[in-house]
Amino acid sequence: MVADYRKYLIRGGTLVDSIGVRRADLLIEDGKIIASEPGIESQRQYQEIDARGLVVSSGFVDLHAHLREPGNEKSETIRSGSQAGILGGYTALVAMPNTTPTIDSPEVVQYVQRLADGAPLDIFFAGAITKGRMGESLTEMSKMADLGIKLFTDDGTGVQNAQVMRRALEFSKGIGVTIAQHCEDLELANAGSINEGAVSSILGVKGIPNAAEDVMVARDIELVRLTGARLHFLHISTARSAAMVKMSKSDGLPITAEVTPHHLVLSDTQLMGFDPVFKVNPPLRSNHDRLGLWDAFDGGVFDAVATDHAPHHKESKDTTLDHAAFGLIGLQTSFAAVLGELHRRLDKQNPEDIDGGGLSDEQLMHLVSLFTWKPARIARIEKMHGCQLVAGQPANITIFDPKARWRLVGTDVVSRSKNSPYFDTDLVGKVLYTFVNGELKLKEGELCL
Amino acid sequence: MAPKIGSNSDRSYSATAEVMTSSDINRVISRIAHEVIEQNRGCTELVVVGLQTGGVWIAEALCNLLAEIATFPCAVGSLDISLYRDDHALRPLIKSSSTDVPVSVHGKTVILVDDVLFTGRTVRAALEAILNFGRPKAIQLAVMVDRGHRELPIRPDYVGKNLPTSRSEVVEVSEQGVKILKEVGNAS
Amino acid sequence: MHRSLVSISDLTDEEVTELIDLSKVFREVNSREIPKVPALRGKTVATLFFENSTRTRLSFELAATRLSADVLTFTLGSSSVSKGESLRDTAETIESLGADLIIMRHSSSGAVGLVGSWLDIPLVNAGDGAHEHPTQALLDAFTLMDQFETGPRLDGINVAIVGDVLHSRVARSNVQLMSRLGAKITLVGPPVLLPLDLSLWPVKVSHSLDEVLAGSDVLYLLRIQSERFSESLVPSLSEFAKSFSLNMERLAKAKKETVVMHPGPMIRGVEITGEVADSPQSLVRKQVENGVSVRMAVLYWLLGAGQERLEPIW
Repeated sequence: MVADYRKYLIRGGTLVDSIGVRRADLLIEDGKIIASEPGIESQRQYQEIDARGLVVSSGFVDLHAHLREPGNEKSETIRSGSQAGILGGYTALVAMPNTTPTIDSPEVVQYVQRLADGAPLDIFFAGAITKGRMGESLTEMSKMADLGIKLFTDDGTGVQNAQVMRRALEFSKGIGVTIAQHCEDLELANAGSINEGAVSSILGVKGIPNAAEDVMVARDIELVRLTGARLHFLHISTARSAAMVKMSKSDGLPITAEVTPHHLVLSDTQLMGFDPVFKVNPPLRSNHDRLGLWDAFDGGVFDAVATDHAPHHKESKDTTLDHAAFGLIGLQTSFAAVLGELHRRLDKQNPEDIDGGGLSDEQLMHLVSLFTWKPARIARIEKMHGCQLVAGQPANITIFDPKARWRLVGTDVVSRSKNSPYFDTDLVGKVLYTFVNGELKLKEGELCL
Repeated sequence: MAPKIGSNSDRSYSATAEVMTSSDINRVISRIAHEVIEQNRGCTELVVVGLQTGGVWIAEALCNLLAEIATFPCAVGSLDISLYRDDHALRPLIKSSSTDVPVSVHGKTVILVDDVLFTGRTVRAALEAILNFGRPKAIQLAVMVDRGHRELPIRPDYVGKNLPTSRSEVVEVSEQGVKILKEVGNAS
Repeated sequence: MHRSLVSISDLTDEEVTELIDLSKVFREVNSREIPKVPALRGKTVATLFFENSTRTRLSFELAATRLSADVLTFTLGSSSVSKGESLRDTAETIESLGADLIIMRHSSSGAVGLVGSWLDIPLVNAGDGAHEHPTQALLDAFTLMDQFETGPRLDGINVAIVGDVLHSRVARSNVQLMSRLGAKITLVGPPVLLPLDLSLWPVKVSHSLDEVLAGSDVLYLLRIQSERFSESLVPSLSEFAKSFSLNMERLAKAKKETVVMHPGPMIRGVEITGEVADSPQSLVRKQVENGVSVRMAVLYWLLGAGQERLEPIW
């Protein structure tokens, strides 16, 4: 389709970016912000967006999406996943390398980058740390880095061998890329299906203990101390791991960490009915851990909220808990799920002031930071995404209504897979407009591609 | 919850006539006892089995009388035929004590006792049930009231009273007497 | 709307009492010279076992036969049906064949409830993974009520459940049912064979069988499967037996009235010695016997009740 590089005037919104929260209008032209100030006058050639009551934010960046293409297009494609992303307010996604084939060589990188050509948002692929994600021999990271790969992970599994992990960290340090680790000791995880705790105990289902994550987080913190390399922790799910991340940061180690919306919103009690939709890795933990994650969230321990969007077609979920696939979808709902839970927490703290004030500017900025400029820095794409909303910057912009309450219904899911855990959850905050490089991809909540 | 037995509780009836009094009942049981002895000369042992629920008290009264006047031993038992019904009118709440056949029926004469003989289906089921307890020498049937309308080839050996009725009427038998009730419509 | 029996939690207290009462009815039926009633004549009951268990399957099939139901038997190795699609296909095929009820066992926790959500006929859980085995719990409660003459309750009865609780569906169903009926339960086993988090279990925990012998009215031994040794959960069979096998020496330290139970099949010499299993204090054979009556009650309760009623015929 022909690029629609018209001029847009976003009028009356509340801007949120790494500068802060403020009132200003934005003028967009040729993919860039050309003016950012209050009271820009309308002109005939501007397409105007009335953003009164809405938040105008830097575009969202997801560090952790499984787009399933190539290899499992039945579950998701780059296109369907991108559309879900745009509905969720994303302008950039980091796609995980556990596809078929695995993104573990320069050739595969070039192949998948061609597949992503023309996607409605920016897709950045992560490469695998080890060949075939087998945890044994390192991939040709520097060749892949030359092709633009900035993040390397064996996500789906962690690098089990500590010596291999040490080598990966050391290698990454020399070439300016970041290793991202899925922390799970497979022996301790014991082929479990859900969190090991009160619920697994009652159900008689094999559990994955917190320790399976915690021991690898502890190990890798020490490897960072040893090597000085940057390390990003994917989907932290336990209170203990979050506390260790916090300590490592106060020690000054170059460590970042993400948390998923589902680990913030849901706990393992959801599994009392054996519903495989809630089977995810790392597993939904106890409510104690969930609250611990919120403490870390509030305390600034996390650098990103990442979806771990993991589509699975019906057949891999419509089976017993132990045979069902791990994972749930989240691109379309991530922001609203977190904001909804944030509202429930605030309502609990101030029961007499239900939805009276909403979030403070600080709370809003903190939340937005975890969806925008902080993950953009981890992905090393901060020059393109999560940028400040000032003249000269690329127009990757997300506009949302922070007060809108909604429910996800099955027919609204644009992913090829429908394994969302949020069909019965109150969601707050609806993304209405998404600009990708100055193009309007979402208008009044409807895709325009 | 399992549904409770569908009694006639969803309908209402009004008593139209008392056809037997309590003294009639006593007299009839006494007569039947004598007929039993008459018909079972040379009998060595008798088992009187009342059908749940209406036949049980009659069987007990009959057995008590027989114990006084008969020369042979007489045992009493009860039988719940819910599990043998042919109309799927299954009762989830069968009392655990509802079937009690305390002695073997093998080679003995069994007298099945019920309050009202109507279509004969209850008796058919009772015949099937009692045969599962052994092979009696003979089975006889005693009823307080025979109201007709038979649907099966079943004939009582001892009858308290033949009582022509219409199908819509209900015959109620108790120690106080026998009443005919007429349906006055659904009352739900 | 159909009922199923997947978990003890599916039953209200009234329904438990109802099933116990019905079990007594069927125990009387089973004592007859011809222990068979036509109550489920014309009904078809299918047993669908993805995990081998000849005893449980025979007990259910005998129960169905004694109610005059027709029985379809399906036995499959779990491996051939490890994919969800074929599990669904198998279950739907059986329903399409005209089965009125499915009795199902599967190695995955939750499998029976899942199949129940796909079908329109009642299911009876004959064991799903380490989750539940509700008819076993009912027959155990029935056996104990009889033994201790406690009416429809088990108030004040001290039950020690001994051995591999972690992998035991029998333990999960029994703890629920017995505690609801008023029994006091102690789980006994090495920590490695007990669930890590017992906060939702209404039980006490002990790691010493010797300590609980004197205070228990019931010593309920669980089967320990040989896989547990290969998984190195327990170093060896004799290492387990040393602390947790019920032998005559240990039984002598219990009260004379204390009874011994086991869901079968027993591995004599491991969790229980042959002498104990055959001792007068053992209720093992009564459990098997009562199993048929209880399963008749369950089948009758699920299939017999709620039928359309014809005109009263007397």
